[in-house]
Amino acid sequence: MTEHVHLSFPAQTENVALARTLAAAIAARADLPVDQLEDFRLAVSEVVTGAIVDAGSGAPIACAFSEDDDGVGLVVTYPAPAVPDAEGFGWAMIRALLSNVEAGQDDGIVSIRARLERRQPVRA
Amino acid sequence: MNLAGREAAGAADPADPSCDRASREARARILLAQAARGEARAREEAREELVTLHRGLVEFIARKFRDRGEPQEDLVQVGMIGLLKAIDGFDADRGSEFGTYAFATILGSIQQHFRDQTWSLRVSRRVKEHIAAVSRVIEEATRATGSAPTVRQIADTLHLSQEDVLEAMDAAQARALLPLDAPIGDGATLADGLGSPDDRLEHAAERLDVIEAIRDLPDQERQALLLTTVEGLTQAQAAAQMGTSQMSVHRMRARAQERLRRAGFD
Repeated sequence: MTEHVHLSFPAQTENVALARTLAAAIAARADLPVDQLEDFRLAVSEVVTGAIVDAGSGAPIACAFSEDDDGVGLVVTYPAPAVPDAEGFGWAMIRALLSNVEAGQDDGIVSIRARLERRQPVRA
Repeated sequence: MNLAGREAAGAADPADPSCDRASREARARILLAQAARGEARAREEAREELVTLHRGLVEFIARKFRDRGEPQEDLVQVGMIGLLKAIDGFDADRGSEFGTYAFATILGSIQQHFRDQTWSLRVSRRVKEHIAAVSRVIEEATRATGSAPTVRQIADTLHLSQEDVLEAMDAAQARALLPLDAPIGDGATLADGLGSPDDRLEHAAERLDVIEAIRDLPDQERQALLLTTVEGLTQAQAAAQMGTSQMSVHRMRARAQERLRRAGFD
């Protein structure tokens, strides 16, 4: 079952902490082990920081979180003319921590989608 | 300035910010080797040139914190200390780029600088005690079971609410006090027991090099490798998932590992 939890705020550095806190809470509800929880928190922080940079101060940033049996998901949307340049250190880190990372742009709104897959238990 | 002109200028002076990364990395490699051995004067000169070479990088990173209310010169100072730490701490045998490692170390130093300043004032004693307890539980549970516990498990063990545990982890992250061991296959870890942001970023940087190398593998070899290591499947299970034979999975995994070994990873 997938639930969606939404968080919106104006683009400001102080507000990244809100997204981080919510990301941790979602990961906790999904019963992820704490190392994966920290990965998710760090990755969300990077995505949202990038969104703030691209959207510009005060612009509306929207985050949607979901959880299901396989892990947790994230969608971040913000107004910008183009998808972010994927070559920076921040993006390399995001791609290292999250899977299915996609960036799209439609009618002036950029969407970043990604998931963190629950680590499956090691079988003999 | 036309492109040819800029490239010519860049090739002449690796410290020029417009110089390409490859030239700077090549020069850094030579200097790091010189800084590691030989007579004292030559080592010191190599170190100095390494600092000059990467000063632009320090300033670039420091600029990202310009709206935090601290003078740029102070942040550059902190970043330079991080750079020196990177120069002294870099292990050339590791196979990752010095530039990536330096970036992570410099960034970590500046971030830690801010955390050091605000943490003591912001966090209540109760939360500090919770951090210590949570940290202990994470360490013990990870050691006992081989994988990290969930928030629920930590809360149950300590008779705390999940919110309290999350609050403690949040505060601890700011000060980077939590041990978080996450095996990612073949003995590598995402973050070691120290858990400082410097180390976290350093390991993330290392992991990026591994990720890049893994991404460059042919699709089937990569899949065979990841399914049998990170995902923890047996070769038979991986074969079932990939729709191929166990023998094929074995061969593809061996080829993938050989490629990674040749690229400098074990």
